[in-house]
Order: sequence, then structure tokens, then C-alpha cells
Amino acid sequence: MLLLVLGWASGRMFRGTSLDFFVASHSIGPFLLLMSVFGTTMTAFALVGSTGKSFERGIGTYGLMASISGLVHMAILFLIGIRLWAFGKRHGYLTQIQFFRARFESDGLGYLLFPILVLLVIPYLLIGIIGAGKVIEPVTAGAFPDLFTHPTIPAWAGGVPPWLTGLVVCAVVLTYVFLGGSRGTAIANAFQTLVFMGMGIVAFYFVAQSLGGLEQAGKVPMRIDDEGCVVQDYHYDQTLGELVANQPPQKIGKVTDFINSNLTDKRPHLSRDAVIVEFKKKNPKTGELVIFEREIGMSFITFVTYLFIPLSVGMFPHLFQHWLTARNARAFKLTVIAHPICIMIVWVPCVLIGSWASGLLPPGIPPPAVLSATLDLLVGNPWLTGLLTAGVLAAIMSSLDSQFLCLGTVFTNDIVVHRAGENAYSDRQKLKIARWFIVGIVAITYILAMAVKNANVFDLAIWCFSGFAALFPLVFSSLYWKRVTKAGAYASIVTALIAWLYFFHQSGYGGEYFVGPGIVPAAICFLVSGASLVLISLLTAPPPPATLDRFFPSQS
Amino acid sequence: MGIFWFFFALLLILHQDFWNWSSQRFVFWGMPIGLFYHTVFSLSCSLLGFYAVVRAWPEYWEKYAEDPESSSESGESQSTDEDPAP
Repeated sequence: MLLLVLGWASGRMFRGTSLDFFVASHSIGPFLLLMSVFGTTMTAFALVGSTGKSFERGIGTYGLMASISGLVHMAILFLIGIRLWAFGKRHGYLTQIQFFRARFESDGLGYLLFPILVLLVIPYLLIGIIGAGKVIEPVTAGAFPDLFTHPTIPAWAGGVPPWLTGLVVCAVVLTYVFLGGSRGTAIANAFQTLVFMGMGIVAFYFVAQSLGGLEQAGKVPMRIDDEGCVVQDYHYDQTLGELVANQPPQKIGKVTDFINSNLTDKRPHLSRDAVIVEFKKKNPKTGELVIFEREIGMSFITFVTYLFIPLSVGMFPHLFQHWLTARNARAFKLTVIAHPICIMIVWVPCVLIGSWASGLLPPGIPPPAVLSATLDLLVGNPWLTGLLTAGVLAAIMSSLDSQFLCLGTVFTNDIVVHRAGENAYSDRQKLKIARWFIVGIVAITYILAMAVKNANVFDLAIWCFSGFAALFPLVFSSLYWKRVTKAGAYASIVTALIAWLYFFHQSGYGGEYFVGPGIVPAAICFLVSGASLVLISLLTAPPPPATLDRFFPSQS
Repeated sequence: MGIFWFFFALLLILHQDFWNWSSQRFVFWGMPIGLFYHTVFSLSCSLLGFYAVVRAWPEYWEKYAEDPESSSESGESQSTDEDPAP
């Protein structure tokens, strides 16, 4: 409701121009820029996905994605964001594609990039809607037993189903994006970011308290006993409201493969040694016990190659649009400094909660449901759980809005207006086109999200990031390498696309997938894309001096 | 900018903390060492950002963006390999 009010209020502040709708008339100051940039990069992936991944792989999840993102995002904001903002403001670009078309003097490049950007943003949108559904159903389990009788798993009977949650989330986001455009999105993002950061800290406090404090909570993750069995030492008694020791410890799985031979009494979620464990889970439909394997921890090569994934931020079209909303370059300063700290505030609690949950929840629980199931088990209080869940929804919506707005902006400016000519449509008509395109994209995304509602949020996000990371050589070279050519840019995009599609297909369309000893596909996609860009650029004629003068102005 | 790049590279190396890989030691308030190390790493990234803002800020690009001389230029008009309008 508050978001709808904010949407209405930002609609009142709307100046009625397409420039205001798309980039808030370049008027956003440091605080709103930080909140909107951070809120946009943190989605279901950050809260729901990180907790689920930590439940699977342990505390290494933080170094794998969060701490490296702090370094890489900060550097990208500083080295790329400010320059793109400067070019955008001076030359009037509203989208990435406008910049690339001008930089490489090619209309065709825009038509090639447009479907690729849409293709890559859609999984990002899907994780938001899927994540919202996964969070709401467990926490509302039992609330409407007569109304919702077909739950995802029997334990969640009576919970609000994912289709309804997705519908409400889409409707709310659509309303404030439709009314307020870029300014509405920035204001809503600031509110959402404050909510989910605050609620994250509150959730962490209550979960840690329920487990008897941080030190006691460290003894809760699953443990490997002297027979190589994986056991849970505790369970949480909701009647007593406290942690109770299991006598004897409850066996839930068995180690089948490992690297470190000294595993007795180790809690694999608290380090990064790779251990393969065999678990059993009940098929929710047939009731049959199914054996499945899970790798806890990670290989060193996986950890190292994950550093390519945060490079994706340099190519996110929705972030480009947020950068352009900045009032001046100085507005970036707070974001450059505070972004890594904001990531830390959100991720550290989630990663700890995920690893603790491994000792309390059944191992077969879907990873995206770990956060809400833990809150439901340990916090219990419906008001508090409701507020915490609102924080998760805020994080999800803070990304969805920017992505919807961005797709509307790109379609209107790079396809419709570009084909028809700058003066073919009035400002009002451009707004109308953007708004109705956004409605269409929301509808398509909702239908797709319902079709793949059981996808793993973290893995799906990694595929989206991998695609954008593969395009990173394009944006970096366009700003820092005078010798890059139009042919090199085409080669880079096409190679990135082919490599990404190949690995995406190999993964079974969205599952976790590694190449060889544990290399993430993003690293290979990035390297082949970068190599083809360099090679083809060197084999073709350099760009004309006029272009170089325009994009590499003398700084004397 | 040289100092920024030096510390950026140093942090990239420090991120690969294989020395904490197998350790399950707890440090402050029951934090696993592997997580605590990366929490400190995040704070270091913020410090590098602070250095960038204070000592290596690209003033030039701010002036470039505000320069009225070329503010009427448009990226659209520079595209050449295809007719932009049907």
C-alpha cells in the first residue's frame, strides 16, 4: 500500500516529459542514487538466493558473490559509470544502445543488441517473481486452508500460492512505474532499500536470538560424524521457543566424496572444502523417497572464476539508465564508497542464516524457500514474520521496477523512435508507447515465471549475470581502447551470444553448471568474447579520427 | 590512478584467501573466520572507493558533461551504416 502511495506521490512530481519519465530529467542526488543503484542490484538473488545458496554450499557463498561484487561493482561505478553518465548527459543518450550506436557508428549494432539485452533481462525479471512466490507461500502456510488447497508441497497447504503473489507484485510495480517513471522508481527504490536493509538486520537479530546467540548458532549447522554420516545436532522446539539437542543426533545424509580427509566433527557449511553428500527427500506428489547429491563448499577454481560474474553490472541496461538519472558526477561519490558496505549489510546476515538453517531444516527443502521457512520456524510471530517478508518483497520489487522501466525505454527509443525518426512522435506519444510496452513485458514475464516457477533463483540469476558479463569487453573497450572497431564489437557480441547459448543449453536451461574442474561458464564466455573483440579489431581498419575525438576527448 | 589500480589488484589477490579455506575457527562474536575475513574485505573495498573519490576523482568528466558547446550533439545522428528511418 505504501508503494502505491509513493507511486501516486511520484506521479504528482512527474513533469510530463519523456526525459523525466526515462531518466528523471538528470535530477537525482547522491542518496537517492545510492539507494536506487543498490536496490536495483539487490533482488530476490541477494536475499532469497543467497540464503538458499548458503544453505547448500555454506559461508563461502559470501566470498563467491558478495565480497567480490563489492570490489568489482565499486570499480565499475568509478571507472565506467561516471564516463557513461558524462557521455549520456552531454550527447543526450537515454539508453546503452544509443551510446553503442554512436560509438561504433552502426545502427545494426543496436538491432543486434536489443533482443540480446531483452533475452538476458527476462531471467532477471523471472527470479523476482519466482522468488516472491517462494517466500510468501511458506510464511502464509495454513492461513487460508479452504481457499488454497493445492500447495507446492503438502506442508504449505493454505498458503498464498505463487501465482497470486506474482500477480500482486507485478500489479504494484506496474502501477508506480506507470505513474512515476524513472523518478517514481528511484523514490520507491530508496524506500524499498531502506526497508529491506532494516528488516534484514531485524530478521538476523531475531533468528540469532532464537538460536541462543551467535556463538551457540555457530554450533547449529549440520555436522559430519565419525562414520561419515551427516547429522543435525539440534531441532527447534516451537512450543518451548528454544533450541533442543537431538539425542542421538539425527542422521540426514552420508558423505560420498571429499577433498579434505579429516572431516570428523566438521561442519562443512562453515568452511569451503568441497564435500559431496547424499541426501534423501520425499517427492511431494508421490510421497516416495528420492536420493539426491549435493556439493557443500566449492572448488578453488570455481571461487576464482566467479569473479567474472559481477562484471555483468557494467552492461546492465537498467543500471545504465539509473546512472543517467544522476544530477552530476559528484552524485556518484556516495555510491562508490557505500556500495560495498551496503552489500555487506544485506549478505552477511543472509549467508549466516542459510548456513545455520542447514542444521535445522530438511535438506530437500527448495533453496529459495529456506529464508521464509527459517523465519517461520524460528521467529514464529506472525506480525514480525510479516514485516520481514515485506522486506524481502521490497528487495524483489526494487529490481523489477527498474528492469521493466528499462525495457520500455529501450524499446521506445532504440526501436520505435529510432526507426521512425526523432520527430515522428510527440513526447506524449513516446510516453504512451513506453508505458504500454512495459504492460506487455510485465504480462509476458508473469506467464513465463509461472511456467518455470520451480527454477533455482540463484542459478537462474547467475545465467543472467553470465550473459551480461560476456558483453563486458564491449563496454570497457568502447571507453578505454581507441583501436576497437565496429567489426570487433559485432564479433564480440556474436561470440558472447553463441558461447552463452551453448553453455545455457548444456546446463539444461538454467541449472547450475561448471566446465571441467569447476570453471564458471561466465569466465569462458568473457574470455572468448574479449579475444574475438581484440582479434577482429586488430584485423580491421581503425575507427575514423572524428569518432575518436568525440569519445576520447583531450583531457588537457 | 596508479595507486587505485595497485590496490585494486592487491584486493583481487587477497580475495582468493586459500589460507582460510578449511578453517572453521570462530572469531569475533562467533563469526566463522572465512566469513569474517570477507566482511573485512568488503570494508577494504569501501576504503578503496573512498580513496578513489578523494584522491583520484575524474573532475574532467564532470566538466565534459556540462560543457554547453556540444550539448546539442546526438548519438542518433552519428549512426551511418543503415538508413535510420523507413
